Amino acid sequence: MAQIPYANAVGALMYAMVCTRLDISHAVSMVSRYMHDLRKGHWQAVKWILRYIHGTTDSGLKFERDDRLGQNLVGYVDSDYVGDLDKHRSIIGYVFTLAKGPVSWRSTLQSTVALSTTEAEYMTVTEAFKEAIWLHGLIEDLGLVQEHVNVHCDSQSAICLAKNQVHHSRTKHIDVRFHFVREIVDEGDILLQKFGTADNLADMLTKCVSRIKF
Amino acid sequence: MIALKSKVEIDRLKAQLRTDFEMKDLREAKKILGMEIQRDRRKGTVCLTQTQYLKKILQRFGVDGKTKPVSTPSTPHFKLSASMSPHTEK
Repeated sequence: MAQIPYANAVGALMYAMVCTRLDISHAVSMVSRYMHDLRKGHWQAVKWILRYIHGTTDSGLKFERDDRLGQNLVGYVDSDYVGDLDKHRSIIGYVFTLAKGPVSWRSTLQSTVALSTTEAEYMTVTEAFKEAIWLHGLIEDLGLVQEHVNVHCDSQSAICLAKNQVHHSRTKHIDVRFHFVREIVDEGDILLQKFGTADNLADMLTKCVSRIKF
Repeated sequence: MIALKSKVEIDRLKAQLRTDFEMKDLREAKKILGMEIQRDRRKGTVCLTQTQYLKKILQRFGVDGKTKPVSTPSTPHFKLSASMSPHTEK
């Protein structure tokens, strides 16, 4: 396996993913975990991505003018509970859109193990909020003043957890750093809203989707 | 690359820069960092693609016209894990 240009291929795909191809970010983040010790199966997955790219070289990002809400920054989050088979960590995914086009996206493994799906979603929301705060400031510098950012999440329990200051036996282990979310929600800078899975753009960052949703 | 809301402002900035630097005007941006920019003023859309870059990497890794394209970037049957790697016997 030593002669295989695995790292080169993953690096090349990663550059495309970072610039315009958020549709491959989940697949690339999967294969990039095995750089140091790869097997045939990993290389097959990389070849699969290359074949996918082969059929979709013309795809990219599209930004559109929309006078109703399109100019606003909107976020979508999703997580995949225990998406990683080695350390049983969950996968987080978020995407922010501006003018109907995606501007910021990420699909990555969580830094710590989540004990429940709610916790996994909640940790994802935290990551997305950090990004939202930064983007909110950035677009304000560019002259796009927006009162608050909407972040859509398909987990009702994570939303309840963020809005409610109740202490539950099953959530008391969730670290203080994740309660950062509550503070932000309280301040009203970012609104957390329920959103159906079918419309969730971040879905494609956490699992294999059959077609491009955007 | 200069982006401003008004054309007049852009021209003024260009003139100002020209007095201090030697510069070349490439007109409307067609490409940035390897990404192609397509604008449709009538529809009010901007598209960013990396077609040329992607074609180059496909060529580099031996994907050509004979390769069958697939419709998904990954499939569930790739259950990737480190255990696919060889284990050290204890």
